[in-house]
Amino acid sequence: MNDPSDSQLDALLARLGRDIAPTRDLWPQIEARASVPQFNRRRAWQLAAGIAAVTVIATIALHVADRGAAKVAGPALQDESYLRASLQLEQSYRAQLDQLPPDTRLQIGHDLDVIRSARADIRRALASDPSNPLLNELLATTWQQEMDLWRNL
Amino acid sequence: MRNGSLPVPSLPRMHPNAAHGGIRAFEALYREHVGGVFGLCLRLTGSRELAEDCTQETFLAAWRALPKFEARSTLGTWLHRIAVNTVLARHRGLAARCEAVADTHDEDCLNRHRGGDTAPPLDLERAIAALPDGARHVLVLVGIYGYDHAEAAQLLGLMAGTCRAHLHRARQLLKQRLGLTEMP
Repeated sequence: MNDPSDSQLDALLARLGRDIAPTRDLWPQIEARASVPQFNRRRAWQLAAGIAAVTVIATIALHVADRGAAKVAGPALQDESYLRASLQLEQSYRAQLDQLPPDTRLQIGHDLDVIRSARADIRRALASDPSNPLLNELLATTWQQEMDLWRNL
Repeated sequence: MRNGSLPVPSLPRMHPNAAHGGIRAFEALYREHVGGVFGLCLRLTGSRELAEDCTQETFLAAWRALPKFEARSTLGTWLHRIAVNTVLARHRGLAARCEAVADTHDEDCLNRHRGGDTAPPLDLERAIAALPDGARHVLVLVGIYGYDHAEAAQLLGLMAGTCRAHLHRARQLLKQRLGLTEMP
């Protein structure tokens, strides 16, 4: 932050007020909507909760039915395709990463370490239970997070 | 967070479910905080129309959740958190609708839904409104409203490194657009 343009920008940002008044009064609409009885909302939630419960039960049943299929595909195959995609992203965004300030690069490196360490833990757990659907989903999530991190650069 | 350090304005009087408070007490809370919430929504969305919608949604959500408010944070901080969630939820909704429209460039579609009024009066405000969404969100929270990176990352559902990268990008773009970049 030794660049004088940084201090100029900070000075400009500091001058911005935080409060901005809307051009019209929003209260009448808020008051009208706030006056709607809570009963309907609660009923809707009960209905949604019922639907969600049915969905969860159906999903669990499907998972149980698909266990055999999951054993065939296995996490290793999934891992391989994610690894390829992630390496491609890393290659594409490496240049952008190098342009970031050192503390940001450090932070991103730390974030990557956290994700990769979580993935290593999940892999260890998967070694003894390769078809566990939750662990497989968590493994996929770590890949997704890593790819999101690269894409967000 | 700088704004969050405001004291809670006599919560028992403001609590809408208090015996003598109700909707009038909540209106007083609205009048006190609407400028802060609308300012945040306007800068996060870059659109006056969307910001008005999000401000209304924020206060409605606060009205419904106020009985659960436990004063672990100040009311200002709490309202800001609701506002950020409301803006992000609205943005995700718009993005999903735009993805459903074939052959439409996301940004064009989002700009149309924003109402095409992304022109606040000041050059700096206009430049902020024109930033890419992720960069703008982080710049507004960290650069204007004084959140630290960890708080902003948590509010936006980002990793801290991503948050820093967005801020860096936002600052670079702003300096370019405002002509602050040092000439070689």
